[in-house]
Amino acid sequence: MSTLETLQKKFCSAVILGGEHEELFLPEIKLLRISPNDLLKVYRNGIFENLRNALKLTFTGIWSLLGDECANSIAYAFSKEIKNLPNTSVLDDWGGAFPDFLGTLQAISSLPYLKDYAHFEWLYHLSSCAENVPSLSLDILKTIDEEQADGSRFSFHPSVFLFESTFPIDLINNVVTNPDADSFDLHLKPTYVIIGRSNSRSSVHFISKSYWEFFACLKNKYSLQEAYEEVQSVEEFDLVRALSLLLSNNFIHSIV
Amino acid sequence: MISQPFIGVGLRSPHYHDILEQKPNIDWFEVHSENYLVDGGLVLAMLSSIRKDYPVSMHGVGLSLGSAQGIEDSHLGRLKKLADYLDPFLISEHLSWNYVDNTYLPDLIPVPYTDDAIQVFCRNIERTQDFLQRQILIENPSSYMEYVISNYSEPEFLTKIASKSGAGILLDVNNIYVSCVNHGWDAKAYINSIPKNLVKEIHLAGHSVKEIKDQKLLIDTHDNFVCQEVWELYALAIQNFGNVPTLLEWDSNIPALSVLVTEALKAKQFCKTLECENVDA
Repeated sequence: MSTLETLQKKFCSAVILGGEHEELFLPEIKLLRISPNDLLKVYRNGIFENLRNALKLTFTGIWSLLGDECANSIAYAFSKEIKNLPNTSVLDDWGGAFPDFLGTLQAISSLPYLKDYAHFEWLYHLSSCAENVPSLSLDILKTIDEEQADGSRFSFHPSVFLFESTFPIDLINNVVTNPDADSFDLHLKPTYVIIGRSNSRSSVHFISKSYWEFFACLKNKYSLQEAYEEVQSVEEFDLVRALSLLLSNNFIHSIV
Repeated sequence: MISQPFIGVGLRSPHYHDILEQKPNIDWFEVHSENYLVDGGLVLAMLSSIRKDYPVSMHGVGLSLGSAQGIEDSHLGRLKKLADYLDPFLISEHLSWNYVDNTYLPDLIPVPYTDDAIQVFCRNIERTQDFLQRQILIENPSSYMEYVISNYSEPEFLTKIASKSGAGILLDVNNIYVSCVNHGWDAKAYINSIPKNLVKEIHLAGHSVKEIKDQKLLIDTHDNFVCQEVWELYALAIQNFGNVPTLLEWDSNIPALSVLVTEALKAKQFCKTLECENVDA
């Protein structure tokens, strides 16, 4: 191993783990008017601040719900674990493990919905930067007869994600996005969501369980007929409205 | 060499709409490559719209050219895809590292200035230039620590790498000032020691001062106006290197677009004033 590689490994351990690892690295720094310990701290602070900012940009709702001080502390605790550090320099790719991490923290165990809300924000983020692909043209649909339609399978736009939670994510989201909203009543109310992008911007639709199940079947490559059979007994389910939601929001990429 | 001043600012998301509506009088924009290495969505759409009206350069913070373990194939591939999409007039990276053992540390970490590190940089730069099929520029970083094992000065190290690898130099005048104050180096001697033909771009920015146990350390925060000392070094730089493209960076506490543009245009005024002085002389 080269001298440079050894030094870079030592720097990484010193910054992230501190303690004895830091002691091993400090003699590498030239001793001038500011102590090596304080200089290393400048880099450590810069690295953790950049990681925190990246998480804050993706999980704006979590920061809003917890307040800056608490959320920043959690971000720091998350980033202190080497397994959570980014393995890419594109920080838009990083943060997927943060929601589950929130679920492990005793200090915020009285806020059990945070993990789910963070999952919701992560999917919204993924949707926002998903690949640009064309959406299904409505003209193509006009060429399909009824028999073909029953057997057709949909390929969703890469920006489309389905999410379900036992918490009222819609009410929580309202509090996060609307400063004038009343605080929400935390009761167990299942929420079903479809997130997708239309004309560059992602949108969120809170839907009923039957719509969610229907969309989940389609996303799992059930044929239109097979997906419909899963939910047709549900009185509130309206096939035309469900399909209209997908098509009018450009959530379908292609049809097979 | 560009004969007229060619002054740009960093493209930041709070300004997207103002840029598209106001079409500010600025020559070009610099984008941070890593902010646009996504597959699609709003940020790429905005960038694409702005690109129709302005030249852009790509400035990376994450390729980690100083990594002894080499550079990431996937990152290089994504940079190439963005470069093919944007057709930037310049692509630049830093004289630093931030990637080891599959872990990315988001900062510009200095390397020791040694022969070992020169070899690593040259290998990584050559690979990048071969892959991108074009020259890249390397920017001198702001630094807060020096290594015991360094045996070159920073300008010597930078010049050796650029000369051997065929890369150009992006000379960040604020970074020179910050590092020189922090380490007790001579900023004018630094600028005067860089060969004229290697410098292809100049950066300007503001910095902040941190007090550590009664000692001052300058931090490259890009959150303020350019200070007078840096403007004076800029004057020396353009005397030495001519009207290479100059960029004003402002990344934190981002002001209104008009403030940013006004600050950047000071650089244009500097170039013109110096041009007049040279003609008069």
